[in-house]
Amino acid sequence: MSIPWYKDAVWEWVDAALSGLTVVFADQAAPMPSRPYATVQALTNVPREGGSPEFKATDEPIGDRWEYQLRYHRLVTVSVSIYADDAEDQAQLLEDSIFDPDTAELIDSLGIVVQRNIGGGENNFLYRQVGVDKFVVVDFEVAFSEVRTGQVDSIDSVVVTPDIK
Amino acid sequence: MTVLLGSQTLTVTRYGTAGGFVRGVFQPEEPPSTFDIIASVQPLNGRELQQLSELQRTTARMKMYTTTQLETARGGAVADRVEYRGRQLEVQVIEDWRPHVTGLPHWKYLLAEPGEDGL
Repeated sequence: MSIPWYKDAVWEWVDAALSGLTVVFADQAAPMPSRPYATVQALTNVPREGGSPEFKATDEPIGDRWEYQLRYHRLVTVSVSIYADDAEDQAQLLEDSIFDPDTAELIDSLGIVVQRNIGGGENNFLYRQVGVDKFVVVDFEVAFSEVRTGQVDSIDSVVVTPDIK
Repeated sequence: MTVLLGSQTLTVTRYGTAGGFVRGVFQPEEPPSTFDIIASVQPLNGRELQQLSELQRTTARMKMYTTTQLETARGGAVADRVEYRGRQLEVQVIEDWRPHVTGLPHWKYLLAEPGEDGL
């Protein structure tokens, strides 16, 4: 089973930021780990366009072909649910981690950008309960790029348009 | 034999619990098994929809009646999944109506489509 690289990168950041929790992807056909644990869920499998694609080409043709690079910017909302007695503290730890220099370095090396998903409040924690199971949910916006390269006979033939409707 | 209104044959997938997580992804020790059931799948009515929290109302949900007992995720098990019109729906809620309906002992299940990260 393979998962998109950006989800694996998000998992690595959450796993590094949370303390003493097992971190798993949500909604698998799998038994849940025993508490404390956290689930990571991308709220859509098709990331949104995060801006206009960037086009870059070689200055001169290589032979009779031009090489080009298209960089698409993506955005995905990621929801982390924390099942732990100290779930609120862990959620705060996760939010604070994106401002921690060491974690910021890790996030940068993973090729993603993580932002708080917040509307002006102190935090955006959601306190939920299903049956007797209480947990805290915190959402983030994750940005990343996908790069495509190719060769063409004429640069003018490359039409740069968003590829996600 | 009990006959359920609008019943059809559906395939259920049952998952084992043995295995472990690697980078957040469950690696089962054994492949899942499948079996067929006779069941009647119906949409939720208005009252049943209102019983869901607002967050859950946008998830695809159906109710299902059958005489076969299925698994939910309670007690460390993995919920069964039912293939219905090309979609895998997870068994989430069980109502046992066997003691209450003379001549038509059955279970009622609430099915839901797992979130996008079903991998």
